Amino acid sequence: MESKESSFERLTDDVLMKIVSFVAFKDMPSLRCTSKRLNSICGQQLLSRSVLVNEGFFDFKQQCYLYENGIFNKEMKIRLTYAKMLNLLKKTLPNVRSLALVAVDGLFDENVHIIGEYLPNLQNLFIFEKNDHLKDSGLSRLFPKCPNLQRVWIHGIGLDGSCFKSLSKITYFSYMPYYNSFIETIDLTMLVSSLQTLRIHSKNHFSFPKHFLPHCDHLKSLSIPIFDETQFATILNNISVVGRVSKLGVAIHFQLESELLQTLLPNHAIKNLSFKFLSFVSTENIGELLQRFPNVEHLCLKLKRPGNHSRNEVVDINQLLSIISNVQRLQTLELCVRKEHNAKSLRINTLLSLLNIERLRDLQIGYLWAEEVNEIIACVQDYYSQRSDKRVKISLIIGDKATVFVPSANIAFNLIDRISRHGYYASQCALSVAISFV
Amino acid sequence: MSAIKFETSDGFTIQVERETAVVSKVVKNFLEYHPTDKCTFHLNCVDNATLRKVVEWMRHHKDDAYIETESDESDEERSQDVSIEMDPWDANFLNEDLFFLLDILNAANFMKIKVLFKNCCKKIYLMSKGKSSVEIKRLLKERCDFTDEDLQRIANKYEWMARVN
Repeated sequence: MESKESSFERLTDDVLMKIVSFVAFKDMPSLRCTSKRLNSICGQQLLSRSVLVNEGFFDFKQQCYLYENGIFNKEMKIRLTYAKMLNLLKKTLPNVRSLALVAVDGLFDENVHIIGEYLPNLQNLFIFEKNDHLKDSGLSRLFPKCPNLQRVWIHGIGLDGSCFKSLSKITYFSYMPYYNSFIETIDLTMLVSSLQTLRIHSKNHFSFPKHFLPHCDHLKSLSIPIFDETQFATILNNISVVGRVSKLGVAIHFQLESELLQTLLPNHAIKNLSFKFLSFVSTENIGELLQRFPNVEHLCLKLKRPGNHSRNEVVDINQLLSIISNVQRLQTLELCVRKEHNAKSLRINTLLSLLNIERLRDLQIGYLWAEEVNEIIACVQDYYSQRSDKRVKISLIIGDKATVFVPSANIAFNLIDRISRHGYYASQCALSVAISFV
Repeated sequence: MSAIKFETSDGFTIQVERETAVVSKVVKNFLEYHPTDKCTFHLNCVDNATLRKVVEWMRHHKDDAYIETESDESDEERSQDVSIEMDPWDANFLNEDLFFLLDILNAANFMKIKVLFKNCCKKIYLMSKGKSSVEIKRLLKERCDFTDEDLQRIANKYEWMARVN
């Protein structure tokens, strides 16, 4: 009926603007070439864009940190040198509120403060640097120029914390020291009055700043690595006593023993709990640890391959799942066990008992072998054909190259390839792990 | 039980349960100020086929918490949400041809159903994603009002944007 009319002529400028707001930078040139109207709308829309990611170097881990929070976004990605980007900010993108600089060429301690001159309204700033070019001195010139900063990520930079003197209002801080850094701690006292979320990522020894937690009045979410037993007990008990933190993540870099667990106080405030075990831990000790957090709703457990332990000390995934089935308020579970070749395979019954947890809505489990995946899909399909009242979103992380058979499903399975960790819905598959429909 | 009626531009009337109808912000706001059990909304730019589709979407999403919390005040905050990911049910539901999609988009805009509006925008963008300007033009049946010189100039000027992998 309207075939003569151009499709977009039926839309008002406002609506068209909204569509253009989703368009990735790399798709802009071809869209601008379609018509004068679209060209001018694209130009106007750019002025109001608030997110920019400048990625000079692809780093998988940083990508995960960058995109997990929903502030930054892959479509807003460009690759420019620092000088060219500054020019762009001035001319085309003056309203950027969220800026990510991922290993950008030409960014140094001497010139980092120029961002602040161009973007005084900056709210979210992500900086990843891989050459140790940045220091406290440059950042302490930048921060006073951005009084509206709320969330800051500083990754790959060795800081002592003196740059925070001029930065007192931020609510979110994520820090990853330079991998060769000799600085083993950071002074965060300037941030105690405002900080709500603190995340520290470090594989090297890092000691959490003392006297920080008791004074942090607004801290709700904490994610840190812990390298020794005494710190573990001190920090966790400190959190339990204060009782404000509701989200806790700990990367445990030492072997957890049951004597230590006896000294832990119960914590009723934690709703969101995440543990990453980088040393050996027994299933019983995980159970003991989980008992300290009776109100957990969202649980994430990651078990890395223990380095120097004999093979018969493999964690039994079935036993682990039956421990987790006792967590009464569980809504989401993410379980990632690095698999040994002699590990027992996942029993369907243990999985089904997990699905019976009343409030469970989201389950992510791995790593699984192909046979297990196929068995689970068949079984869960069966389970849901009998119970239509409940839907759990299930994601399966596949541990090897595999052919997975997905029955023409009314349940969307999210299959995740271990290597790329990208999720694909089985109902629209394009997975490097081959998937066949039967 | 109370019911709300919608009258379409081509003269059809569709009756909808109240909890479904209030997914539309227009209906919700109206009912807040004029509490009533029965009323008819005239949608003079939405036809029958489109409205049926939109109502189907509203029924599916009537219990979603985010529909409730979606308010105009948070507009500033939400303008930062530019991710093109969407609920797989929606992605599948909106697998329609461009013209129908534009009708849905206009209806969602008129009835103030933000999530549907946003997802239509994303879907329309996804249709043109990665395509050349010639292909987009064919898709949109847009007339090209540029000279070759203009085109070359634009292509050169914005070349840097395309330089990402």
